[in-house]
Amino acid sequence: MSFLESFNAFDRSELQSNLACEDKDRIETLINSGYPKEGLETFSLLISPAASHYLEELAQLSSQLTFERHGKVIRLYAPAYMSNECTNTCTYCGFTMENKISRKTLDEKEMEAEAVYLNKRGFRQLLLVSGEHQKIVTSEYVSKMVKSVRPYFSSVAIETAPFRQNEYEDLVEAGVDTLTLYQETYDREVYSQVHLRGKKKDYDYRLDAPARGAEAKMRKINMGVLLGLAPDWRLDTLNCAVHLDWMMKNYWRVQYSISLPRLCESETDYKPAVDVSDRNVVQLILAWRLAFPDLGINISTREPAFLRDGLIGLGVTHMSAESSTEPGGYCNPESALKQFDITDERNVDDIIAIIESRDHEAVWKDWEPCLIG
Amino acid sequence: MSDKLVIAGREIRSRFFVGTGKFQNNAAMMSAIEASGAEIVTVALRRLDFEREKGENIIDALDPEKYLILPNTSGAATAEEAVVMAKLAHAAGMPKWVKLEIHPDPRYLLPDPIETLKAAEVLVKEGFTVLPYINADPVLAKRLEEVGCATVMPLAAPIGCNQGLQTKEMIKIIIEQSNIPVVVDAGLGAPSHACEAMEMGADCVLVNTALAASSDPAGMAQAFSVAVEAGRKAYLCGLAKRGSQASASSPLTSFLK
Repeated sequence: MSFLESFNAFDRSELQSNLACEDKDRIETLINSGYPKEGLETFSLLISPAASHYLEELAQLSSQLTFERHGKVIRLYAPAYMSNECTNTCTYCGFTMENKISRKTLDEKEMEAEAVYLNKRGFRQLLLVSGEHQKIVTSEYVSKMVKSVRPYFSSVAIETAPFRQNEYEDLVEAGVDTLTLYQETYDREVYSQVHLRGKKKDYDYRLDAPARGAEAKMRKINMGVLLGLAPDWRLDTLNCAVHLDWMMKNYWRVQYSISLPRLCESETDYKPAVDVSDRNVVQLILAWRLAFPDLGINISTREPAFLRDGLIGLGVTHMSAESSTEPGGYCNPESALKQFDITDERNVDDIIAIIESRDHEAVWKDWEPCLIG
Repeated sequence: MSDKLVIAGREIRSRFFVGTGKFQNNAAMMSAIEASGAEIVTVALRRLDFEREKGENIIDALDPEKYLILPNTSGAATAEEAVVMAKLAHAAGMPKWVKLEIHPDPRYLLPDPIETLKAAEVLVKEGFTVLPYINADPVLAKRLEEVGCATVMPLAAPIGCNQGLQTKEMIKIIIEQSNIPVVVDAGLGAPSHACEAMEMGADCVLVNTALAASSDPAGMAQAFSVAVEAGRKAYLCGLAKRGSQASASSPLTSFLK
């Protein structure tokens, strides 16, 4: 059974009622005898309003569990944009087709120059990002870019339009070990309201993409929702957890991680449907950690410095630094091209200093290029 | 009485092995390693960056005269990947010793017995000293011994869980049957766990998380070291049998002679 079929048939009534839990006793019972039981039930309770009163207690547990399972380390990565060409109309995104921004697609030489720059800065984990353009950002194009950067990194991830399984297989062959793909929102209605035109309108095709990636032998898969798109961020996140849980059971060889991107300013005038507060983000991170102890948790430069600093030791395992969100932005910055403004603009040395001051080690490399497929 | 530990012909001064993952920095790691008295120190190959300048890798802090750096293949999901990794380490100038870890399951990091046996055969033939990480499976342990592994390293519990000797009964069988040193690895969360493994007759133990996640890694390393020695000594002396009732130390039937 595909995830789509399983997701459509999934009875989430009990989990959904947990999301509204106001009963503090249930939370206390859950956390008063050590680590709570792993899985969806715990997750649904830990993201409830009742659990928001126990952030400190949850943080203590999460911190200890993170040390035990992941160590006192933060892995560093950098994104590099390949292209901002896009054939979709997404009301919230700076790359949306209607936006009259300059468009740019890197060639192999320009891509390699970005790779060389980031490698010299110390990065060994790279995330290649692009807009979604069926004619320009094809899997063949992405494969070419992957090959041009591969020698400079121990791990290469992609965040692009969803591809077919055979295309993912080609990408793995080219040297991709990690697939990052956010459903954006699991709420079908909201999904169709914000994705007006283009292939991205196809919710179902996107939904089954992580499974296609896993079939194609991606070693690591990173998932998430774009917080602020759907009014009910609790339900949206729970649905992401349902997806993750299914993936873990069906593709047990894959190493999973999640990201918690929050909508931020871009070149559109989109206003988030809901304000997901810093406290909410922290609660979500603690819930992910405690309900899924082995999960990697990423926090990007979209988030402000104070929050990123505070989250070191609370559950986060991966951080980006010094990021540019425009194609070619490291070697030739032109702010007209970027997808969104980053918030944490500190350089990587500052980030490392903060990580170390919080008794953690900044890790550049945690993968071998031979570990593919 | 001499109680030497010899692995693949090399005399090893300590029965306590330590891992280098998860520490907050090199200083904390080094203080734990020094306090442990360990000679064998494992390092994950995937963390090593041979492009870096000397001084920027974990192993640069470890004096090769003092420690035997044992590279591990964690991250490898197949025999082929593990073999490539081991060769990579050797090509980069590391000793031809390898802790063979193949876990396709990134969640509990449980080792794949089939891939491990395959990789062990290849690596032994290529002249590596192979120390395989395995589930506590006595038959697999014998098969690995037959292909020429230097030790077997059965797990006490999943890596990093600190649950202690969950696989005790199977480890007892492995110890009873083995002609090569048995290193109990993974899951030992407290000195008492390590002591118990040594009392049972394990030749060595390997600990990492319990040290790295402690608020005092060096203190904890020392505590484990003492426990390992105590357990070994108790094993050599022979533990008294356990009974369910008290047994009188003065015999009650001595008048019968």
